[in-house]
Amino acid sequence: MSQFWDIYGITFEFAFVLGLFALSAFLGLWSGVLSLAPIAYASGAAYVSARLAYDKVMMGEANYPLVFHLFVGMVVGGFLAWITSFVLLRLGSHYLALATIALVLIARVIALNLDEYTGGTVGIPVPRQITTWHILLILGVVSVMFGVLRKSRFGYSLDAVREQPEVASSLGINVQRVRRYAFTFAGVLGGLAGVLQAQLVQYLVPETLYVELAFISIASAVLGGAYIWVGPIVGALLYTAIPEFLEPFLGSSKNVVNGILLVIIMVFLQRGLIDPRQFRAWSLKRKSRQTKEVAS
Amino acid sequence: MSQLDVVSLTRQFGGLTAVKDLSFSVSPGAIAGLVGPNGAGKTTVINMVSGIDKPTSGTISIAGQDTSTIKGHEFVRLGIARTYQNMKMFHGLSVIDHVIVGLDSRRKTTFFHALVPNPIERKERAAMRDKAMEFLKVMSIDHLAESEATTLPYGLQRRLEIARALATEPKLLLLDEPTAGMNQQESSEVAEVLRGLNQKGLTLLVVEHNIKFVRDLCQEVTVINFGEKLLSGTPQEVFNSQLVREAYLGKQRDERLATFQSLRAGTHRNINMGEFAS
Amino acid sequence: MGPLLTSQKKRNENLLNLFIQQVLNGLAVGSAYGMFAMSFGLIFATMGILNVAHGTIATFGAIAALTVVENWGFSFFPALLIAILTGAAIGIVTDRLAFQPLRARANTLGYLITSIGVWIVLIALGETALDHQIKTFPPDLLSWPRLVTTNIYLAPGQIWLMIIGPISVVALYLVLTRTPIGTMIRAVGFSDVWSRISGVSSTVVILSTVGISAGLAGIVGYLSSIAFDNVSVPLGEGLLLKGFAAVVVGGFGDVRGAFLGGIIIGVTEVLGAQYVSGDFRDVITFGLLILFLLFRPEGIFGEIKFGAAR
Repeated sequence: MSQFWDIYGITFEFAFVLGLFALSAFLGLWSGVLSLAPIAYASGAAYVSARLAYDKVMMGEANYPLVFHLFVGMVVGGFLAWITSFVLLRLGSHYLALATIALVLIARVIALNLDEYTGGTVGIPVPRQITTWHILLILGVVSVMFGVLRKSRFGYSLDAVREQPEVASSLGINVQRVRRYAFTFAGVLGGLAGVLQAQLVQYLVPETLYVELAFISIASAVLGGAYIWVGPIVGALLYTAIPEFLEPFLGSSKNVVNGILLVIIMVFLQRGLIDPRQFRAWSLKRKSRQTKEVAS
Repeated sequence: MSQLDVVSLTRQFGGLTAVKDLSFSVSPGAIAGLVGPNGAGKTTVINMVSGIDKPTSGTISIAGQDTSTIKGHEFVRLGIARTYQNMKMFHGLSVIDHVIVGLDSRRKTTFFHALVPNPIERKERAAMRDKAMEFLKVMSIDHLAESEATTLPYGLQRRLEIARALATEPKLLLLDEPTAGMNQQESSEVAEVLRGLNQKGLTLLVVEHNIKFVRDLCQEVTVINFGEKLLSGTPQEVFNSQLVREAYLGKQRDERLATFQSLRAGTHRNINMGEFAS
Repeated sequence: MGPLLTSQKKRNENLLNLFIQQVLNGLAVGSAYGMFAMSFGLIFATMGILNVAHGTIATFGAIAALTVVENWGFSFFPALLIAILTGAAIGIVTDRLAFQPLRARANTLGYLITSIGVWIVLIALGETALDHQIKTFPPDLLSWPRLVTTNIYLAPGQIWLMIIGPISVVALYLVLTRTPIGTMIRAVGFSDVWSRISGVSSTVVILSTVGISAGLAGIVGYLSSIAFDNVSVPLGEGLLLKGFAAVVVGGFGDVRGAFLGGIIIGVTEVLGAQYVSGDFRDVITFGLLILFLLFRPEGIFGEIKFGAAR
């Protein structure tokens, strides 16, 4: 077991963090918005946290505690998301998707050019404070949050806004506000995940949190199923694990298989692997069977 | 004071005038009908009255309050709720969840209650379920609470849609073609349900092109075509008026049936607007 | 006074020449971005497919052309044809395997995910084909036309970009607005139902759209790999990212807008690098992007309603 962990531990750590990224992408989808922006906020958050740590260490002082860095990441990510939401959420769906990709590109350019603070192309080292258990704990807490969220007033609003924004509005739900909350919360999550990712990589360059990761996080969310929070986490685990376990058999062509798998799953399971509708159908069936048994 | 006052309402889409200088009102406690063939601008009117769309000019007052500065999602507070011609169910949500969404405006919890488990949220959730169940009972679909809404038959979805709208506790319920796609049996069931709601004090505005349905149900009727008002009054006055009978329903009684059918198909287009203006 | 005046005049002349040179460079780069944005925007606007594999399709156009040039000594034009055909073929195969199965419940999100899958596959294949290297076309492939004066130099690759770019935008615009197939392409964008009513097979229309779009990507990949002396996977990825930017600036509902967006991005990028700061070149490009997002959020020509926004 410990040998297994020695080999695959780091893979799981990345998978869990990807789970957080996927959850932030999922939050956008949940409010009916296709947004890749959380990665841009993650980048901003990671740089701020990394810089704070760097200055401390350079001064020969002890780094801030991990909790502080996580907090900074969430605040920065949430703030950036909140500010940009006023521009982005005005846009139509197609344009919004493009604009959020543009935002990720912009984040990299800003990081490159603020080289006094970010180290530009050279980057900035990030001291690692987290352990696997920290990451698991964070993912656990976030999962519980999503569980509560789903059955809360806000969760119902999100469902309604995603499916029928017009109806939601006529039922008294402020669609724009619901979207802004979701967008901001996605930024908070993105910021958190960004700090974790930077600590995992232990080095931050403008491409650490970039378009590829944005695509992969949204792919994980949809692959696992973007209708309940379990989906993105499962998607992220599979997305990371499959190529890793394929590696011994396929070598460098594992990516080809990975891509093909992604297409196949999307073609045959358009709602992703985890579909709450399916569960409801099962539980209804089971209930009706039970009542029949009781009756007979 | 009227429950609803529409004054010189006009809506233009680019060069197209969908609704032109339309005025009518609905008295409190009434079942009012807005009648006209397909494409007459009925849905455009109802969209504006429910706050989804904004008029190009003219005013809409609800219980005396002008709505021109009120945002779409705030119309609920004025006691307006509506249903849709194509029902617009929330895909993937259960029946009871639809009504819980409708209860949103009555909930007190905020976004922050949604992030950590807390007793306030839990209590409210239980209360909302009970409340939602009551509305399902009113529409006699409480036995289907856990089914997926979009898998229900048409008539039941219609009932659910009304339950969802009722959950906002409206004073005025707008119904956009409540009998669309229904047979005689289902239509009269819907009529029965609506009459029951009206007896409990709810004002109704029914948009229809099913004239029989309107004649049987409504107390006041406004007829529009090409976005303009032809006539309003009691169903007797409107449907027996020489004006409407000659121009709108056809001169011969025998022709009426044919006209009804063409009205249904939305192909009835031979009304001379000039005659009514004079 | 005399000699001073002459030197001042000479300096002004040099400055002017430099400016002209950089504008021309910008136009060449901009043509590549513009053509790419146009081809990328076409399938996005008509079918809602945000195809992230589109840049890699351009790379494959270049790889295929390089292969036939190196192995069978193809000259410029036959190799161009190969680039177009390769692009179109990959585009059509991609559409059949990864997009067509989703079409019944078409939505932008599903297409995006399958295109990410295709993108991963194509990048892996491309890197294998190029053996993870940056290759170049043999310099004798294209020796004309070359513009050489004392102060201005334009390479043949750049000139061909500047020739084929405008030709392709005019041609595509005319095809879309003046021909039956163009009307049908737009009609598929407007509604699938419309094309069913009109009796035109939507498959034919979809394949034409995809073929045109991906073929154009093949051209861009080929020409820019000559102009920038770079046949590599990152080349296509760069085109994709600049294509996003161009489409945001120019709007994707209109091919003219997308092309113009590319030109604007290309010219500001080159001039910014020359006159402001080399480091800041992307800042200007993306600063422009932010301005457009703030003040002209639907692109230069606005968003012409092509597809249903789903």
